[in-house]
Amino acid sequence: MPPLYKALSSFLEADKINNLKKIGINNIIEFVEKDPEVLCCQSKISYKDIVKIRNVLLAQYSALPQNGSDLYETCISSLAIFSTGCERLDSLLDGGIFNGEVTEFVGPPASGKSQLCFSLAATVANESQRNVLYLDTNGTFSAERLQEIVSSHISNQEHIELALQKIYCCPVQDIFQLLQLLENISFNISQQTNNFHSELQLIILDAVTPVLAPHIGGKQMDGLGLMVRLSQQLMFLASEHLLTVVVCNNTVQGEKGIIKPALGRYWQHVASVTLKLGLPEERSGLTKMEGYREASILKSCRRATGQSTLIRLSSMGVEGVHHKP
Amino acid sequence: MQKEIGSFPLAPNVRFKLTKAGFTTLEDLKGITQRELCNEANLTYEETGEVLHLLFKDSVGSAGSDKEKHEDFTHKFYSAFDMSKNEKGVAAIVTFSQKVDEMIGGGIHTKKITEICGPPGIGKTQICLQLSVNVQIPESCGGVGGEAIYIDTEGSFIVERLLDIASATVNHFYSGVQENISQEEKARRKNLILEDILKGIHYYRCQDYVELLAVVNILSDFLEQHSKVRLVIVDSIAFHFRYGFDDNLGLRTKLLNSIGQSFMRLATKYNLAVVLTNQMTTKMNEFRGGNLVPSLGENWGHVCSVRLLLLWDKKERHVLLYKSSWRKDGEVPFKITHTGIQDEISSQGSSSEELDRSSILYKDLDCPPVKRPRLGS
Repeated sequence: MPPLYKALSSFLEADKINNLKKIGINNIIEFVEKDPEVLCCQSKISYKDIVKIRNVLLAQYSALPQNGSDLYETCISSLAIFSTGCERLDSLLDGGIFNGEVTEFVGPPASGKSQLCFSLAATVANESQRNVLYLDTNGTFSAERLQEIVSSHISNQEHIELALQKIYCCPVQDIFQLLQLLENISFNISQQTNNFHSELQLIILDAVTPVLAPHIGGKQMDGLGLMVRLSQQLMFLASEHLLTVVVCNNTVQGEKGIIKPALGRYWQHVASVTLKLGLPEERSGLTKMEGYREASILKSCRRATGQSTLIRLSSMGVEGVHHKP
Repeated sequence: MQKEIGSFPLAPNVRFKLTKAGFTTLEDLKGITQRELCNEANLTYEETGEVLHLLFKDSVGSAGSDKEKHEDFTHKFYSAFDMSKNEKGVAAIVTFSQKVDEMIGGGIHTKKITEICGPPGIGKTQICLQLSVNVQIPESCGGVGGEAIYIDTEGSFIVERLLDIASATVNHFYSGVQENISQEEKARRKNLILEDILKGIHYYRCQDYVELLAVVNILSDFLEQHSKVRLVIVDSIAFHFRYGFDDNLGLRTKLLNSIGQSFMRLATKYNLAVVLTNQMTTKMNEFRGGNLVPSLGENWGHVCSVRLLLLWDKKERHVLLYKSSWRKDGEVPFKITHTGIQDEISSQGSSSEELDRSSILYKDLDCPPVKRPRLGS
């Protein structure tokens, strides 16, 4: 919360601030939280003034109420659903990946998280002609593979090039760089000056774990703070600028050898939809080598959790498997 | 949305003092002088200087303007279109096994971390030695013409073996050269090249994980001075991390993650290929007993962009491409001879004797007399 001197006004002059500071009131939160009567006694400022200041501050910093039907209108007019490039997966996700929320792909190594991201990026760039930003923390981005996916969907060379020009990659190496970059994006979108940003639709963060993991564990507690900060920013970009945000998360081995999503409990609240990817079960007779993967819903507000479908990674990107071979 | 102080790499105690004084966003600190901040936040003059410098990247003393605050990142974004053009031009570090190279997309790629896992004696170190020689193949012969850093944690680096592989490689390339020079002159030149190859390998020996961490951290200074380095090998990453962490696996995960991140940063900045070897461990499975998997746990599996598993199939060595974001999974055999890594079945006359890249690189190596018994089998 801002320090008190930011609220300097006709009611709150410098000498009153000094009085307040003497009794340990430094910022606006501390002022508002304190009982006005106590404050009046301690700081020797008149009760009337204190109530006045309080009201001004509260009005200045409060959120505004919104009407439900207005909200519905905006929702209807701004809702966009993007295909993952695989019909079966789309129907599992109730249509595809939604804008305005954070979607998470989680899975063990080589389970197809990045492949799904590539496929999604290709469809967004190709079908909606909007920009895609791929934040690469792991060195997984491959233009060669993207080209393969894009060109399996379109045959016109010019269109392929156009689609590839819409997909941007930025290597990210640490959390501070990432936070700054995201802040920068949201600033530029609100400024509407930059062509790239006004056309931006999809942000893919692949993967979130490498940048956060070095700060988690050990004695320092700042890891959690950074995680909260990152989640706030991702959610802000999604809800405020109506972007589609996709985050990949890794898996860790928990107690008793159970494989679970990394980053713990808190992170599970960040995504609105969590899609779990995994290798096919051994007894099904399908192998990883042939590209088979299993996708299931771990968390969703639209679909029952636990539903799953079989997919296959191929030169087309991600394909649905209709019948078991 | 305002920038919060917490999103900057400040020392925890400085951040705590700032927050306590009511400064939580960048907006709060805008326009404040260093002296004022000293008094407000109860920090020393030097500390405030650092804070303001970090936050505004501006001359110490006064806060920056709006423009500097939002430095433009768009120049760091590369479109897939541009990247695909660049990726095609990049030569990868070949392994000398054509099948392996084909499977992994031409060889070991730069700007990626490649992990090679395998049981003891399968040839992890041999591949590393071969790669540290092959990275030096000049560009005119289809290589990358770089140098190598070899970080040895196990003490398995054997310089005689390196000499075998290096001289076989030199012979291999020299055999194609038709020059009217005497045998002596030829031998002299070969020796010179051999010496250059050995000089192009920078060797570190790390006795414990602290040394390894330290080396990783000072590597960027070394790379500044040696701009030709294209390959960093750690053989093996697992050795120091497999014991001594029993009661503190959280620390191990944290350290491994930060090593991974440092390597990724170096790889991107200096255009390096990073190759890490890893051991195998037995994972107990409820249904069918033990299962051989790469060590260092689930979390480590995510760090590498490419994961290669080496395994025995009867008496043949096999490479399995387990993880890659741009190549299909696959499995091919390879063999290790005294000259280094080769295809298991000699390549069946790869499209006549054209002077294309593959025919130079993969033509059967002419074998010098065997100096030492063949390794393995």
